[in-house]
Amino acid sequence: MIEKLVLRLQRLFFAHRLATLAALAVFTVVMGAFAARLTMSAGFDKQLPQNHEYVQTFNQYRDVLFGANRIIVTVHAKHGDIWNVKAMTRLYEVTQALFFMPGVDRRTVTSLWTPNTRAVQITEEGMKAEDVVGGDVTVKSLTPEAIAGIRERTVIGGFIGSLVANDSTSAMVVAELADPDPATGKRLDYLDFSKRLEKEVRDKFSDADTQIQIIGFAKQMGDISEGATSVIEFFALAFVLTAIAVYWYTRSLALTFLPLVCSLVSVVWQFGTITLLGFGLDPLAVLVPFLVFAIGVSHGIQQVNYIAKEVINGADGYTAATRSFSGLLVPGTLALITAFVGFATLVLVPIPMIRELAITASVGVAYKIVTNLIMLPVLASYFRFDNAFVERAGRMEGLRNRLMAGLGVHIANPRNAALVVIGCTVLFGVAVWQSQGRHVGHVLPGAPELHNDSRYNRDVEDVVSRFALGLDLLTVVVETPKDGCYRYDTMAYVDRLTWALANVPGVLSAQSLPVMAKLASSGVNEGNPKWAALPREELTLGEAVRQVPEGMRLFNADCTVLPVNLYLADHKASTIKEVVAAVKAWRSAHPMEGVTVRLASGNAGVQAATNEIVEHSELPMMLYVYATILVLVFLVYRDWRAMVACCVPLTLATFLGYWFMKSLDIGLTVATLPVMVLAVGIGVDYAFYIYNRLQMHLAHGEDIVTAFKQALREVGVATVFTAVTLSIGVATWSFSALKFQADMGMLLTFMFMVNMIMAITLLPALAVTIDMLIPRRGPVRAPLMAH
Amino acid sequence: MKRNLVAAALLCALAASAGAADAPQPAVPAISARLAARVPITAMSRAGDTLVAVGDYGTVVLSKDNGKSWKQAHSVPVSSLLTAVSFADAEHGWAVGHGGVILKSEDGGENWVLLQRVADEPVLLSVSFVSPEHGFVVGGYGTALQTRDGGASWTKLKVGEGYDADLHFNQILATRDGSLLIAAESGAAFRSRDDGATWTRLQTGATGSLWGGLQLKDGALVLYGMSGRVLLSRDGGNTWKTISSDTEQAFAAAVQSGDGQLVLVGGGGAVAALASGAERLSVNIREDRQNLAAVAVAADGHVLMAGQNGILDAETKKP
Repeated sequence: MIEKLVLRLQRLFFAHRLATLAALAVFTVVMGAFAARLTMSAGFDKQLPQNHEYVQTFNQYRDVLFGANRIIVTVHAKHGDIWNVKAMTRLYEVTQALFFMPGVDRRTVTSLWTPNTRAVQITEEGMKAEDVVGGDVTVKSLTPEAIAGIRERTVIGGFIGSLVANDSTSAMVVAELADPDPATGKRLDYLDFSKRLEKEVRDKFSDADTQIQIIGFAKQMGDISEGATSVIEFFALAFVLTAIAVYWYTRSLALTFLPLVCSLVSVVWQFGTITLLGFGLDPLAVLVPFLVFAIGVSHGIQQVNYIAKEVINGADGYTAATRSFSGLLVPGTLALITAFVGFATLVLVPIPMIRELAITASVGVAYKIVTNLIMLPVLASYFRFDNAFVERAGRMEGLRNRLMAGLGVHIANPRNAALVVIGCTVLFGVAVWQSQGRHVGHVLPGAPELHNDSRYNRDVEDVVSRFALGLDLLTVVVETPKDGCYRYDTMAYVDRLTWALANVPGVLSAQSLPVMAKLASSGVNEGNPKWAALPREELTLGEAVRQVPEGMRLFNADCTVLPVNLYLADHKASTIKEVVAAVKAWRSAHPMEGVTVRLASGNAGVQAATNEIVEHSELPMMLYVYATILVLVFLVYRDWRAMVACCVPLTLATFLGYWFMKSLDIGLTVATLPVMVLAVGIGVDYAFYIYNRLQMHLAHGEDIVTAFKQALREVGVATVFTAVTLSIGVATWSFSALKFQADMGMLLTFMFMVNMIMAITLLPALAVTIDMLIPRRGPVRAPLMAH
Repeated sequence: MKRNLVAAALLCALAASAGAADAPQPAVPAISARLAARVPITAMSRAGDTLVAVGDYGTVVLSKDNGKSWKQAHSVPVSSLLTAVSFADAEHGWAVGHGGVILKSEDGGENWVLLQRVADEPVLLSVSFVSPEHGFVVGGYGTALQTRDGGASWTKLKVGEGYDADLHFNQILATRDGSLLIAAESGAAFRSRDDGATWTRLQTGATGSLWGGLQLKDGALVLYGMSGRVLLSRDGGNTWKTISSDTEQAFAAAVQSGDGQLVLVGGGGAVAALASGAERLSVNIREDRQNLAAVAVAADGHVLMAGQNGILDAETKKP
């Protein structure tokens, strides 16, 4: 029945070749028009599991809480310290530049030069506050004496460590961003803002004596967006490398042109689809076209391989193309469906970025059925192949056959097969053992999306080392009844919570309104430390609370939100997990009516949510993919041996991948979770190609050893070559400016190669060993996928 | 003084609504904390050879090895800021703090019971016991109390007249000749030679608040406080002489070390020393500039300091 359907489709497409191609061309032009409107986005929100408790807290309060909208620019004196006219002038200029920059909330700009920086001294007469710069000092009248005064007031005001570096070599300008813009309601364009900071601040004020460093969420997002665009260049590189590889393989310009163009067409369709779905190109989604392109080329190789073989055997271009079409439609579709199902299971991960990736990747793979299985052979039917090609290709084929036959002889040999199986069993054990304690989440310091040696992360490292500044922030949000900050019981509750959390290992410091109010209370009582407690009377408590600067974001306007900011030693999953567990334990042990303790905002808070999701999603994802593969293998071969022979090498490869991740400090993240799933979905293709041939030879009555030698000879080279083309496409990511893209590239390359090696070594060895140990009784069915 | 007027007005307003005020909350016990010795510490003393320090969150920490290691007390029934601690001997000790709490320990500081929550929950700032039965407590807004039964019952003392009666009494100390001395706000100091029945205001000549005082081994009295002020009296408090110092930082606590040197600690990381017989303080500002609040001499002579960030590592200053 399937044969009839294939034949009917072949007549349909090849009888109307021109119409088919014209229709495809029109579709490509339309999709191309949509593709041209693709926009780049940092996609920060899409990385977060939006329905997770912590992320909902984060979304609800992100505009109220500390940190998200903060930008920090430091002026660093390369030689000596900042207490000189030149550096102080630079600091003034940077302060001014930030003050006038669109997107900056002017009221919040703070540096030594701004009037909101005041030194408060407690004297017998009461509190005495004066501007740190001093009322009569201007940038034009700076003298060493004036600077000495500024320096003294900086120390008195306690700005060492906050506005001035501990070693006085840097000074800081801090500002909050007006995001969304209060006038227009539009969200700030981080990419644009980041570029502006580069041009109008860093480039303008950097010189031989001055280094400008910029950190903050907006800058980080800007750098990520910029880094993501650099991947486009790698696409060109991958294209050229693939073209060279395909030409080396086919030795024919026509046969190189076909898979490349058809794969490119499907990428255009995919870009168009992304735009139509309204997704935009985030740093994770930008990789999908590479993958789709690579999958396209590797399946295209099957087509040109088939066509070349037919041509070598004497067929003309048209006949070869029609035969290739009908020969590969069914197996090609099945292989693509496996990959499709593998990708589609990722939709179950409740993280929008992975969902979008799942959708775009599945759509891309589905398009392959049209571009590679229909468009390619129809297009190929117009090409003519001369005798020189036939001779060249024939010679190549002979060479490759001998190579693979050699491998086949060694591996299909029962004794060697047993040795390979034993060796791989040991390797399996080691891989399982070594992959224990794999990291979840991000491991290295700084912005995890960017490389350690990226400018942003170097700036972060410098600034953190010079200032008393924590970067890994987990905010516990305490919701209280209205005016919670004027009530002793709620304030004391938050105070105790703060101290309890300050004691959790991994927490460097804990900040909250009551902690600051206690200091303020001491301040209004002549600075006496014995008064550093929360006043019990509402009015006195209010007086203390009013001393706490609004800019610290430790309470909201109606005092219903009292966050506890925890600065962590790092953002490793184990560190965050311990803090989260402590918060949960505390809130259930100390319930208070009307008060809710919510997890969690801050970069570490949202990371906690993402870590929980990826950690809990991984195993089910893998099980779904493996179950899908087992079902498909069973449907195709109706043989338990096939299920074992196909899935065991795949499992070994997966654990080798885990081992690889652990030794390279690649954590399980939003980026790497899909990689492992994709690798299994694509890796099974190799097993299909090889096992399919084996089954066919077995069905013809050959014994297992002979059958395998034949199978390896016929498809071994194609399999190796497919893995190589796939790897080329993803290996270029390793050069990406974004760390997680590089991680994904390395991991995928590793997985493709390992899966291929497993398919041509462990798979045959396993099949032979099983047949030796448990001989087959009945005859073998011919496979459905007749390559 | 202006602030006191405002505060007094506030108190009146509050007193008017006192009938509707919440019943006292059941006390939340101290939080058992890994970093108990890093809590803001307000006072430090000794129970025999054991160092005892008290501070925020009802924290009491003990050291039996002269300050090398610290352990949190086993049980403290309150979690408010404790401000002072006094031991009459190696076992019997009292601690006071915010919320009007008076605590007692009978096992050298390990376990504490809440003796009393003083009516209106004043801020208590100092405690001093001259014997296991007889002790005094002073605090904010003119609070002064006396017990003769180890703290079971307390009677109010009337210290000062008019404005003076509402001052913060920062510290009370008993001198070896049996008189009592109170260091108070706005340069005020009071002396009683009849166990607190009557008080005399002393002429200190100071304007800024006096945060504390102590009696030196040679019998001289010392008062210290804001603006780096240190006063010395060799006639039981009748006349005072200012010791010159180079700092404006307030001194919060003082102790006399084994070699007779007076060591004072205060705000902004100020650590000052006055060698016996010297006329001038030598002041050193710690690099971390943290506010220091407590100082004590360990049994082996080490001087221990504590403040905003808890107990500082033992100073290597030996007698």
